Order: sequence, then structure tokens, then C-alpha cells
Amino acid sequence: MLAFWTGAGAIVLTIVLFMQILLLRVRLVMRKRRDQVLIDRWRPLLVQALDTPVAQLPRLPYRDVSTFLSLWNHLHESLRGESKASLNRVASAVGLGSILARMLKNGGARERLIAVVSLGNLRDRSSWEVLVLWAGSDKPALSLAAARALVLIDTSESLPILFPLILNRTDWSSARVASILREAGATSVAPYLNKAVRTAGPEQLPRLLRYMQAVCPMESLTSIRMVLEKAEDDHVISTALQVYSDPSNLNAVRNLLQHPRWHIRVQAASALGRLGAPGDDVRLKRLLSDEQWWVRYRAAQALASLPFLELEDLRRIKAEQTDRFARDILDQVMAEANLR
Amino acid sequence: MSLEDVVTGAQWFYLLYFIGLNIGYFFLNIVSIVSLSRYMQQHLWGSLPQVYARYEPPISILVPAYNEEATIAESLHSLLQLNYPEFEIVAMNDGSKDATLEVLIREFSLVPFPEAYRPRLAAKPVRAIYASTTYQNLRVVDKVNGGKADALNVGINCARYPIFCGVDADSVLQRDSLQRVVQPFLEDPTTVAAGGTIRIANGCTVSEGFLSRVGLPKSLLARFQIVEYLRAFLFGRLGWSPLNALLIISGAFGLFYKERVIAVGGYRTDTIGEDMDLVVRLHRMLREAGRPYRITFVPDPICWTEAPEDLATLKNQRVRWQRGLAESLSRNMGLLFHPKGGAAGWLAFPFMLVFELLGPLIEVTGYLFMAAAYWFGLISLPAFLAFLLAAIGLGILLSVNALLLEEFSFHLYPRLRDIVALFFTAILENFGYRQLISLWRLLGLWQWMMPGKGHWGTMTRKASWQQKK
Repeated sequence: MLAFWTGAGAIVLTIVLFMQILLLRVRLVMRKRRDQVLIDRWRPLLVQALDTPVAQLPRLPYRDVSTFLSLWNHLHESLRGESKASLNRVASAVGLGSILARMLKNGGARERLIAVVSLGNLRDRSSWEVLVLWAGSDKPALSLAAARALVLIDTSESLPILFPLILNRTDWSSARVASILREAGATSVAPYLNKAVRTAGPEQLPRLLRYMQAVCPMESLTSIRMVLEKAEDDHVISTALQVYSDPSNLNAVRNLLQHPRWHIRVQAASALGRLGAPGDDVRLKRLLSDEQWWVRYRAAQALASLPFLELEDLRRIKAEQTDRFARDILDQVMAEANLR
Repeated sequence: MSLEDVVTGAQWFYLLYFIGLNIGYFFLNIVSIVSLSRYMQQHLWGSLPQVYARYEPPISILVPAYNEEATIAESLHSLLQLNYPEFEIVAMNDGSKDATLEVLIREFSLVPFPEAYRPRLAAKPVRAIYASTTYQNLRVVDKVNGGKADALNVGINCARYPIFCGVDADSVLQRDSLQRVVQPFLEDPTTVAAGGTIRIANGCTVSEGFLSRVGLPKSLLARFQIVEYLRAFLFGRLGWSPLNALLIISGAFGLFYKERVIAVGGYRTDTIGEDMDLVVRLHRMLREAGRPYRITFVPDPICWTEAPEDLATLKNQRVRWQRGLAESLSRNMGLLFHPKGGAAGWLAFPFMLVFELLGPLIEVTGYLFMAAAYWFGLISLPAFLAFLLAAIGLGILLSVNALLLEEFSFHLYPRLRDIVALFFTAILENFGYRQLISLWRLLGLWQWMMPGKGHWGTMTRKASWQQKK
């Protein structure tokens, strides 16, 4: 009996699932058709609105809001400056502010996310408190979207709220945080990053250093140098070397060429390749015989990228080498340079 | 104990096995639905332009090639067109007996390259390394034949970037495949591997190396495999991923953190399931070391592959897969119920062991036992039919459920009639096809237990989906 009822139940469920599949497909086809009609109606209006205000805008029923917002957000993300303001004027004209507030309050997860993204683009301050609340949500997508919206609405007011989160939310993607900080702008973000690196622990520092490199490399030179001089954690030192960009002070980098950890020697060699001065070629030459392949390779690459060394100089350096590994790696790097 | 008791006991055993298997899949299905819906939400934001900074790590794409003279040039041309900020391609000619190397030299203007080759992973000797004068990011390694795993190890030795992507030479990718599959590495720095959904390319149209139209093949055998792949990927793998218990990343397309792979010894060359073995070994060794890590599955359909359309090739493939599964599990038994094993050691491994490895044995003997018991009058016809109804009904339910997940998420098959056709395929595959597959898998299990080295067999490819120029 158990077998019979299990089988019969499975067949009934299969039929129900198939009905659901058909229903989903029918809804998908209908939605796509409706979306297309809506896009055909709104796209020309939105594009026109970028140049001249549109006098008569069609009504926007609630069921069409999601598609409208998708189109509106995509245009928003693709444009800059005054064009964004034109799109926001259209949004105000169709009463988007109140619609978004409703979506934020009553919508499902997807609707809420769309609303949060849209509120940011709309620069709508009326939902500020709710967005602050969502920024602290344990859902990474929603909280990051809320963080971005806050930055877009009011950068200077949002950063003191967001920085503790940026420091502690390990579930926030570094790439997304970096793009949010970029949108906030180097001048606004740099003081917070510079302050944060002074107190951050070794687990937070690599992320902060990468944000500095991505957002405000020039404003962070001193902080990165300070980290490089004081850090004891290998990962932190390695990251600091990767983002270091101050050619006027290379002593800390040079000191790390002899570090016992090869990962650090690799990064120190690369940093000298980017920033090195005459005299550093001698230091790099010593690394051509390092026991680690990657150190030899980066040292050879660094020599090849020093602006004051020509291919002929590399050949001379190779001829001076008594170590086969050093010669081999120089051969490879010179061949790479020839192919470029 | 009377014969009747034995028969009743066996009936219960097989019935409970089928129910247990389906409860397991039901559980995976629930996890899949939750993670798919979460993924689709994140995807919504990710699809907006200007969201990502150029944070993607550079990737080395490793392409092992053995006797691929007919397709290798087109495969590499399409890989070179992938949308990704920084990547290199390392193709390994694994001692091909045909003109694979000559084709590569001619097509990509290769010249000998004096690379200071460093064999971090032991592998067959490298004869020469070539670099392309037309594509700066393409190198070809000519090596002594040692098999796919050996070729991949050589590729890892040559890879210059921290993440590598193993790709089968005949895989058809999406232009944004790398961008999609790299996301777990961006979201979570402890990610060591990520794989994506593999779909069947038969019936689709491929032009200039990329998929241009999704369709259904005429071959029923290929259609059966479409349903199978949907089941395997949309909840077989997606279900395990949020638990960090994914034990398989397909060799056709998978991303790995290079240093971690080198640390666990690279690909094993003495197994025919090198892709699964690597993932299980990563789990085992990282768990044993107590290192935080993630092995993630991306549900996006990012790689398309050709399914065999003849029984002989399909049989070879399934026998080989089952042997690979058996080898991977048996060589990593340390993960099973390891105190630090987590969901991988306490859930996924035992599940694979009982339902995937031993499953064919129980299924085939179950069918045979019930048929024999009915034949000899030990069970009644209604009891026999009820058993078949349960086994087949649950099988159909699982397959249709996978269709629902597909429709809920990516709905790749554009026409309603494709969906209806797949629904009937999902029913039909339970009448003979699945039983045949179980039989072949049992054969694979048998071959694994018998001494003798596994071999790859021959894959007969039709590539009818490839649009001729």
C-alpha cells in the first residue's frame, strides 16, 4: 500500500508540477509581450526627455512599475551628469517616489531590491531611514544595494554610517564595495580610509588597502607607506607592496627584497619594477638567482620594465650571470618583450 | 526465517531505498529553490551596468588537446574572444598522433618560446613551448602523451595567473562565461573552486564558436540526456553548493585557485575521474587542515557540450563516469565522517556513496528481485505493479521537478513545444533509459572492482550543431 500511494502521490504531484510549468511559461510569454509594449512606449519618451521635457507622460500602472524601473535604471546606470537629472524629472512626473516607498514597505524581496536601487538613482531622501535600516540587513545583495543608494543620495552623510559596515561586513563583495566607494569619490572616501587603516587589524587591512588603490591611490600614499613600514602580517605586507605607488620613498620596499617569505620577495620585486630608480637594477639582479621561480620571474620582468634599461642591457645582464636559472628566466622575459 | 519473510524484508528494503533516495533529492531540491531564488535576486543587481569595478583576477585557461586537429583552431579562436579583462590561454598538445600541433602552429603563427618551465607538478616531459605572434595571451605546450590529467598538470605548471580554468577543447562557452563563474572568487576570498552548469549543445546552433540559438535535438537519446543534465546540475549540484559540500565540478569547465590545487598535488593521473577526484581531495585536505574554504556552484548555464547520440559512446561514457566516481570516493575515504568533515564529509560523501555509487547495484537488483519474485509467485501482481509505480513515479517527479527549476530560473528553451517535449521526455526516460543507465553504471562499478587500468574509450562526435562557414 505504501508503494502504491507513494507512486500515486508522485504521479499527482508530477501533473501539478507540469501545470505549474505551463502556467509559468504562459505568464512569462504574457509578461514579455507586455514588457515589450511598455518598453516600446517608454524608451522613446525617456530618450526624448534627455533633451527636452516631455509635456504629456502616460500613466504608469503599478503592475508595469517593475519593467519601467528596469528600463529606467539601466538608462540611469549608462548615463552621466545632467541626463540623470532629466530621467529623475520623468520619475517625479510619474510619481515614482511614492510608488517606491510602497514597494519598499510592502513588496517582496525582488521588489524591495529594485526599489532600493531605484531610490539611489532617484536621489530620494524621503526613504533615508529605511535605507539605513536595510544597509544593516543580513542579506548581502539588499544591504549592498542600500549602501549604494545611501552614497548616491548623500555621500557625506552616508560614509560615517557605512564605514563601520565596510570594515566588518566580510560577506560584502570587495568588488562591489570598491565600486560604491568609487562612486562616492576619492576626496570624500580618502579621509575615512586613511583613518580606518590606522586602527584596522590584519584581517581588515588587505581589503582597505585594495580600496585605497581602487579609489584614492594618491590620497593614500602616506597611509600605505605607514602600513608597509609597520605591518608584521605577511598578507598585509604583500598587499601593501601590490598597491604601493610612491617612487619617492622606496626604502621600505627595498628592505623587503630579502624577506624570508618568497611571496613578499615577489611583490617587492614587482613594486621595484613599477617604481624603481637607477641602482635598483643591482638589487633586482641578485634576485635572478632566487630559489623561487616566481621571484626570479618577477625580478626579470622588473628589470625589463625599468625605464632606464634597454633590451641590450638585459642581454648584458644575462651574459654576466653564472647561474643557469637566471639566464633561463632572462631568456623568457626577453622573448616575452620581443613578442609584444 | 521463512522465504516469505525474506521477500517481505527485501520489498521493504528496496521500497525504503527508493523513498530514501527521493527524500534526499527532495531535500536538495528545497535547498536549490532557495539558493536559485537568492541567486536570481543578486543577478538582478549584477546585471545593471557600472556596478562592478575591474576587480576580476586574471585567469589562465588550460585547454588539453589530444587528436583535435579538426576542432582545436575554432575552439581556441572562440576562447580568445571571451569577454574578460585579463586572461591567457595555454593549450597542451598531449602527444597527439594527428596534425593538432601543425594546425596550431599554422593558425596562430606560433614560434618556439624559451620558457623557463618549472615542473611544480610531476608530469610527462615537455617537448617544446610555443607562443603566438598574433595573440599575446596564447601559448601552446607540446608534451609527451600522458592523458588529460597529465596535460592539465603541465598547464598548471605553465599558468602565470592565480586562477586557472580547465576547459575541454570541444566545450562551447558563452562570451561572458568567465565573468559569471569568477563571481564566487570576488564574493568570497576563501573560494578555491567554482563550477557552472553544463548544458547539452545537441539541437542548438553554434556560430563562430558561441551558442547562438537554443533548441532541442531530434535524437531521443540526446533529449534524455538534457533532462538528466537538468536534474544533475539544477539540484544535484546546486543543492550541495550552499552547504559547501559540492563534490563535483565538471572537467568541461571549472575554475580553481592554482596554489591550492598545487598544494594538494594537482590532478591525479591514475584515475579516469580526475575532475571529481580533485574536488573531493580539496575538500578532504582543506577540512583536515582546518582551513576555511568554499567550493561553489554557479547555476548560470555557461558551458555547452555535445552529448553522445549512439548507445556505444554513451555506454563508454557512463561506465567511465561510474569508475571515476568509485575511484574518487574510494581514494578519499578519509573525508567520510571525518570529525572536521562538515557537510561534505557527513552529508554529501555518504549520499554519493550510498545513492550514487551503490545506487545502480540496488536499483538493478531491486528491479530484478521484484521481477523474479513476481515470476515465481512470491509477490502478487498488484504488489509488483505498486513497486514499479513508486520507483518510476518518483523518478518522473524528480525529472519534472528539474524542468520546473529550469522554467523558474533561466527558461532557456524558447518555445512552449520544447517544454512540452521535455516533459514527455522526462516521463519516457523512466521506461528503459534510466534502467539502462543503471545497468551501465553497474558495469562501471564492476570494472572498478576488477583489476585493470581504465581507458577513455572513443567519443564519437557529430557536432551537427556547429554552423558551417
